[in-house]
Amino acid sequence: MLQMTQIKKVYRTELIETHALRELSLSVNEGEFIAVTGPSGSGKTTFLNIVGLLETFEHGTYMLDGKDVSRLNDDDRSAFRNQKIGFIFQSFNLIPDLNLFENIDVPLRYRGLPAGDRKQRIENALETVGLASRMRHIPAQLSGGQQQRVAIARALAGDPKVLLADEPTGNLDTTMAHQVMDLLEQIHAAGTTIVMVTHDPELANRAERNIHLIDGRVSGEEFVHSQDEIPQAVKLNGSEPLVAQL
Amino acid sequence: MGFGPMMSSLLRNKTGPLLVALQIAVTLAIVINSLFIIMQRVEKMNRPTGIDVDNVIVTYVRGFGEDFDVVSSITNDIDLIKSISGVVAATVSNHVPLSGSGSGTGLRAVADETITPIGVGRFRWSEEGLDAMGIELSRGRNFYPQEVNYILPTSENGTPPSVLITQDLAESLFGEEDALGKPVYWGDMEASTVVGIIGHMHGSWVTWDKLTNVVIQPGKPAYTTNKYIIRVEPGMRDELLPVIEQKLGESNRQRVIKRVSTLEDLAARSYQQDRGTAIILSIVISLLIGLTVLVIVGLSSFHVTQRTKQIGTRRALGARRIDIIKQFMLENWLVTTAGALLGALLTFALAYWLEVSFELPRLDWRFLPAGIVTLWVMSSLAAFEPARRAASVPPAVATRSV
Repeated sequence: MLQMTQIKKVYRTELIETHALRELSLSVNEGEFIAVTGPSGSGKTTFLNIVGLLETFEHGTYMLDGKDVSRLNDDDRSAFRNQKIGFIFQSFNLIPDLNLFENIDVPLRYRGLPAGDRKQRIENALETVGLASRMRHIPAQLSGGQQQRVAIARALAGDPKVLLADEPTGNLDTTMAHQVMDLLEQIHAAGTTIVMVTHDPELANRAERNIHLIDGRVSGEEFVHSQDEIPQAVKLNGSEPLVAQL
Repeated sequence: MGFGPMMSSLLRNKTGPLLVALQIAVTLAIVINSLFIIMQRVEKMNRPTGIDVDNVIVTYVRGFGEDFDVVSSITNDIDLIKSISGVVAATVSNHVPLSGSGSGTGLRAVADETITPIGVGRFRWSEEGLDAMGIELSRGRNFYPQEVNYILPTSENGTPPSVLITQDLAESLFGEEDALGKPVYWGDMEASTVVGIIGHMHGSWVTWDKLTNVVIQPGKPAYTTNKYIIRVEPGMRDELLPVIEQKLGESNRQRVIKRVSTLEDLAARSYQQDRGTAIILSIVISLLIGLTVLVIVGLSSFHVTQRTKQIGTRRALGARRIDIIKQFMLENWLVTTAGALLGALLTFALAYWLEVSFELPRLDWRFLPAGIVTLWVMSSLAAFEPARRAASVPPAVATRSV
């Protein structure tokens, strides 16, 4: 699904060069759930940005869903991101002026899908995260956990090949964090590849594999769960909510 | 972002866009009405006068002393002027067209005191008057030399046997009938015969609505102060002006040259108020448009700064740079259009008020679409740079924690 080879990323200013990633190589299989951990400054966010095609890199190759994305231009990267990658951000990154339906509609509109298709996808996604009844609410009317579920619904509506989660529970209290993790596990169980960046070892342990970064390099790798241990799988395209209420 | 979500977004944060829309509405109303007034003033200043304004010099002379012989002074002065190389024709005249100083009277087509006379501007000049003004006689004849006499302050003016009138006056008096050869009646019901029709000519007062109603009597006004109208060869006006002044000054010490001026300057002075109005309104328009552009740039820039994270998120979710530019431009277009619609109502309300209060002509409705299109273009240009900056926000901003 995802193969990075010898990726290097250097941030330069007039005075200094910062090597954020140093010849990082990593493979993620389809349907895998990996957690990327590491201390502050280890390159987690840079790694996530490059995996998510949010940033370019100087050296190495990156294959995503069978395509070499190293040399894509800006527009092609946008299109590829839109079609293949779902993002879940630490701060949810919902657009405050838009209601839930319109928020989930944002990436679908960029894809140019017809209105009927978009509506169906949005309703299914909201149904999946248990917020179908709130689709006309604006984000400020929801709790943090609910907002993150909307963000997950936004990511799922595009039917991505890989879901990238950047500290998805970082802004939530413990209870909500666990519930969001439950949701991610169930999404993974339904077959979605997930790459999650976190500094929380407890959350990382809920992934199948942990990648530990230090100084822009993979310093360790640990298999936590096997596929058999994943919680009950639920189909994502049905109307059955993955989470009844957070 | 689609039209619907964008409207929702604007309506949820309406204070800023509403203020900009109001600014645009007020700008549109003031700019369009001001432009209309400017256009009218410019048209007024540029309307054809029927006179060779560019090549006419006007001289004001005043005699003094008990033994000052005004008739011989005028005769000698005109002869002297005509002897100067480059002078085409010269005449003494009671008034100068376009100068703002003149005399008026009323004329009738029939000898009936109960009929309201038609207001006219009245001039007296010699058989050389038409040539000295560069005025074309469209029909009939000019004055014969024997019809032209000196008119002294002490002499009996009498009713001139023949007059020239303008085509506009002819139509005012006689409608579609041919005025040539017909009598026109003065206030005392004495008649003069129309011997010639002038196609077009402006009188003295440029603001008067009867400006083109002119009657010309034969005569050489010989007062204490006299006005000479001199036409010169094209291109020689500025060169001959000091020559005329110098020669007149040297030739006769019993009268002073009060002023030598071009007719163009005199006319410009008459239109000073119109020109001033046009200039002031142009400045107001420029300032208002400049201010509106600044407001649009300011609000758009503020939106870009305020929504940097949101823009980054949109980019992360798949928006191309052009999508971001389109979003900001469309938002700006919506606000501008809302302002333009409100401005259209304000424009007509202001135009109606000006029409009723100041008797201005009715606003030409074509100014409105022209104004709206101009506003659209201007506002799009103003919003483009902030939109371009928005598009340069990198998608990685979405993952930044601040």
